Amino acid sequence: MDRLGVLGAGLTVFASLLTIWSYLFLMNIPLTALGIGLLILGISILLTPPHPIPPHAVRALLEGSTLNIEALLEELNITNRGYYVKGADGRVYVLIPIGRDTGPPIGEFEIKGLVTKIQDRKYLTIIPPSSEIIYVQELSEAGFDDALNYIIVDLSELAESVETSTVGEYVVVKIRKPRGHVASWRFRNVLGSLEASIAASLLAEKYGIARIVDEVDMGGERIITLEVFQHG
Amino acid sequence: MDKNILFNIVLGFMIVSTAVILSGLGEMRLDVYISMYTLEYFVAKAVLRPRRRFLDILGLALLLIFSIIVCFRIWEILRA
Repeated sequence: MDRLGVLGAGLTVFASLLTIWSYLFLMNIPLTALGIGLLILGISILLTPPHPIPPHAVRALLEGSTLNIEALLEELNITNRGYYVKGADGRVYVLIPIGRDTGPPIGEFEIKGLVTKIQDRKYLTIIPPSSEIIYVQELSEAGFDDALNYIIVDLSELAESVETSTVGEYVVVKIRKPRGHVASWRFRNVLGSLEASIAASLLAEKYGIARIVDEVDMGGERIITLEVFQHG
Repeated sequence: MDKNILFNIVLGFMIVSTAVILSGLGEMRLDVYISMYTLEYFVAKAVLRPRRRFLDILGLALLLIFSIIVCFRIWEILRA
């Protein structure tokens, strides 16, 4: 049990004893009420999830993982926007069209190796930095909005707040005060900013295929537009 | 500061303040204290939106107790 859990358990036990003692033996209502209040606080602390890794460390790990991808994209001179695709193994991949962008992958396909060939179309296959973080235990039953909020605001503190809205096949994500610092131009162009990459990964995990259409920074806000494609 | 920790600090401050103020006013009804705690819990939760390890059983329990208190009050009014 973590320190917060010990504090919560200790406070709960102490408050329970205080409540029973002050009600049955002292017959003191204000003290009983204080005991009930502390019991509520103790249980609330027990229900608080632990934070074993500080958010700035999660952010640094995510930012660091972009550097390898940037080097690969630079070496292969890739500039097309990637498609976030959920593979047969359940993991989210980014398929980047090699040469001319001929649209999202269609039909049945198997992701294998660095280059995936789907119906005569070649795609560079990359595992995005957010591929594993979207599967953390806390998100097992969360919807898109809650999961995005949890990863971007709570877990990594990449932004102050997140709002989402859906317009047809497009999902618009409004990020307030983004703090991610991905300096690599090519990474941002191909996989999007870290915030956009996380949103696209979550959408791909849910719907099959997603793509970042546009990203606009204005007045301390980043507005990301994503397009969702149905798998197959 | 982590908003989950901030929520607990704010809740603790509100609970202790309520207990001190109401006892200072000579309040002897336990249901008044519990109703205030319930109200404060939900206000703090709505403002700070803390995360929970699993289902918010504390919120459900407080809501249930608050509903029982309200039912008793309505019954007392109807009986009078």
